[in-house]
Parts: sequence; C-alpha cells; structure tokens
Amino acid sequence: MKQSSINKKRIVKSVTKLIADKDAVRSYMKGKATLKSLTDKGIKFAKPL
Amino acid sequence: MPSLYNYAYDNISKTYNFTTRFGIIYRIAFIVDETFSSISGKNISNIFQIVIDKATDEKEPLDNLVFATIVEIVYKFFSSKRNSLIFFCSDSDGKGQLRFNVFDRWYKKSKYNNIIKKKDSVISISSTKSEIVTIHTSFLYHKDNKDKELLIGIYESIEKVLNQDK
Repeated sequence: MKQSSINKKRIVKSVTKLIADKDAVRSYMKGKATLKSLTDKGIKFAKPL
Repeated sequence: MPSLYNYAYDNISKTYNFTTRFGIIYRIAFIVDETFSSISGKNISNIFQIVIDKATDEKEPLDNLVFATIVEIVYKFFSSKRNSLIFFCSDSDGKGQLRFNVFDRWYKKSKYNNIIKKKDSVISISSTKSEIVTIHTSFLYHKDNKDKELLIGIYESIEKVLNQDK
C-alpha cells in the first residue's frame, strides 16, 4: 500500500473521531449524554485556564 | 453594566459555564486532542478542541457579552504560549458554515487577534453513511509558540491530503 494511502486513511480516521467527539460533547452539554459515556469513548476533558 | 459575564469551571460537568442576563446557560469545553500526534506520528501535546454550546436550544436576543466572555476565555487559554486550539464545524446538520462564520467574526472582532493567530481550511470526507461531509476548520495558536511551524505544517497536511484527489 502506498504511504500516501496510509496517511489518508489515518487522517480520515482522526478527523472522523474529532467530529464524533465534538458531536458527543455537544449532546452531553445539552444533557442528552452522560459524562461516563464520553469517558468510555476516550474523550478527555481539560482544565487549561 | 459588566463588560463580560462571570464564568467558572465546574468540576462536576468539567466545563466552563456562564449564564447570560436572559437566563441562557453557555458551556465551554476543552477536549484533549490527539489528532496532531496521530497524523504526524510524533508526541504533540497542548492541542485542544474547543466546544462551545448552549445548554438548551432556545433562541436568545443578540448579546455582545457572550462574545466578550468567550473571547476572554480563549485569551486566558493562550496565557500558555504552548497551547493551541482546533475548531471544527461539521456541515452534517446544515449549520456548519453558519457556526464557522460566527466563530470567524468573533476572531476578527477580537482585540487579541494580533497575539492569537488563526489558519482556516475547508475539507471534505466521507461520512459513515457514505455521504460527503464538508467540514470547516480553524487552527489557533499563539504567535510566540516555538513549535508553530511544525504545528501549522501538520494542520495544513490535513487539507492537502484530504483534498488531493479533487
């Protein structure tokens, strides 16, 4: 398999997860999902301030 | 009249919250993001995805204090020069462009845009339903971030690779 094909697969997978994570967090913010369900998906909240 | 709303981090919800004078609750979450590490194969830390939303779907009147408060939170985030933000708006619900435009307008109006720099890109990927989804993205970084060239390179590679077959 060509390197560019591998890179594209990796990027698509990463971006797809990014979008799915955001959708999950937005659901959580509206009370439609639990914090545990996000944690189970590997979503990590930060407190950078 | 205050120039921005009081906000606080809630240890239970893990979000920064504030309530507007119209009773609308806003929540802001910073999510640890591993996209840059995954794409580059390098250990890239201090990248976060920001998610901003109201706790309810009710509409509210135009409120400039919301803008001011969110900008202040983002500015505080960049008190660490190593921090960077990615902002993604999926068009899956038809509102991605709208949300992106609002975010872009906030950035351009912000007094901090000489310190916090922004790159934008539009990418398309196949969704799980085999539809093509357009995604508007922004990458924000501190102008003095010592790794900015590396980070910008990784960010730009996303658009380059995903759009190369068009």
